[in-house]
Amino acid sequence: MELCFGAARLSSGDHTDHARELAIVEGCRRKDIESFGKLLDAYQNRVFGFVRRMVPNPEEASDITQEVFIRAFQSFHRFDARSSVRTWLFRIAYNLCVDRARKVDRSPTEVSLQGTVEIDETFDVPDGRWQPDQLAIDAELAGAIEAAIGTMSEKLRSVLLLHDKEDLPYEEIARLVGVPVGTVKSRLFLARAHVQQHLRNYLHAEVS
Amino acid sequence: MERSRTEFDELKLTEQELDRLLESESGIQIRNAVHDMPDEAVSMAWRSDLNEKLGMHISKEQRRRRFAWIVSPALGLGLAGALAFAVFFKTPTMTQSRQTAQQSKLEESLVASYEDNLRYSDITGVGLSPDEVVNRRTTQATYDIIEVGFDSL
Repeated sequence: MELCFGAARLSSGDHTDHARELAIVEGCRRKDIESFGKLLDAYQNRVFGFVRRMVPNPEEASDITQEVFIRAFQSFHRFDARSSVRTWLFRIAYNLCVDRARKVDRSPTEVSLQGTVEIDETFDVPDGRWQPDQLAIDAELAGAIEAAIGTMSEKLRSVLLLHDKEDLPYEEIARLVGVPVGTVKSRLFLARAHVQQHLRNYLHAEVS
Repeated sequence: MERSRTEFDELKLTEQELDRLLESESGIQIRNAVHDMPDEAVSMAWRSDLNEKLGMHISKEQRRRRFAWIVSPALGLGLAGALAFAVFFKTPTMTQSRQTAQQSKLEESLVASYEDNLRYSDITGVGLSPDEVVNRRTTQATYDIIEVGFDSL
């Protein structure tokens, strides 16, 4: 059973002890606003980042993120601690994003497997300038990754963000999304291939 | 799920091969690139708006609890009152039925006396009431007895 605030650890490197984390969860169950505030501090940016990438409209993303935390606050007594708080929050966020997509009736655009995706074992990138560490700090390339994420289907995007951005394990993503672990892996592979393809096109365009 | 299976099948990879590809150097590079994407921070206005909404939710819940605290004894009292009312009105209903029974007896006797009157009037004619007939008979008898008694003596 994992109750750690992974986001807090990842974002600030601050190792909160287990007892404190349990106290916060207990406080949230009692609807203590102070405890919930601590939870918000730890997760608000992470959840917002996820929702922001799932929902293109920033205002809508803000509203959905608020809804995530309001729902969490209302139903914290139902949190059974079988998964981590982080996974639970991302599950609420994911469900709200899916609901919103259904409401808008914007069918997700699937990435065609024919032609665009090459099952390239080594993921060779022809441009020698491609350095992932530099990509992260280069705003332009980070924008290209964002654009790549924005153009992939919702199914691939959610798996990529949950695994590569939020570090959730395959099993938790499988439970969260409601598909087998193998499907999660295949979606992750396709999502990464899509990003790679997008970056390749971007770099080719830059060179030419 | 069916579509995902199709996707998985189209890859024509075993899970082990897929694991190997995902853990390959280029796979890890993509992962790091995605992981290092800058996080967007929510604004202070967003947080204060959320705090306001949470506060509203808390006050609504408190109001609901207070309402329940007031209403539940009131409901108890109401139930007790309803029971008392039911018990209280049960007895008068029985009295009423008794009264009805008495009234029906009275009615029967009235009807009976009316029928007697009719019969008497048939026999004695108009102008003489049955009481008078009875009284006259008795007084006559008494008189006769007295008469006989005194005369014979």
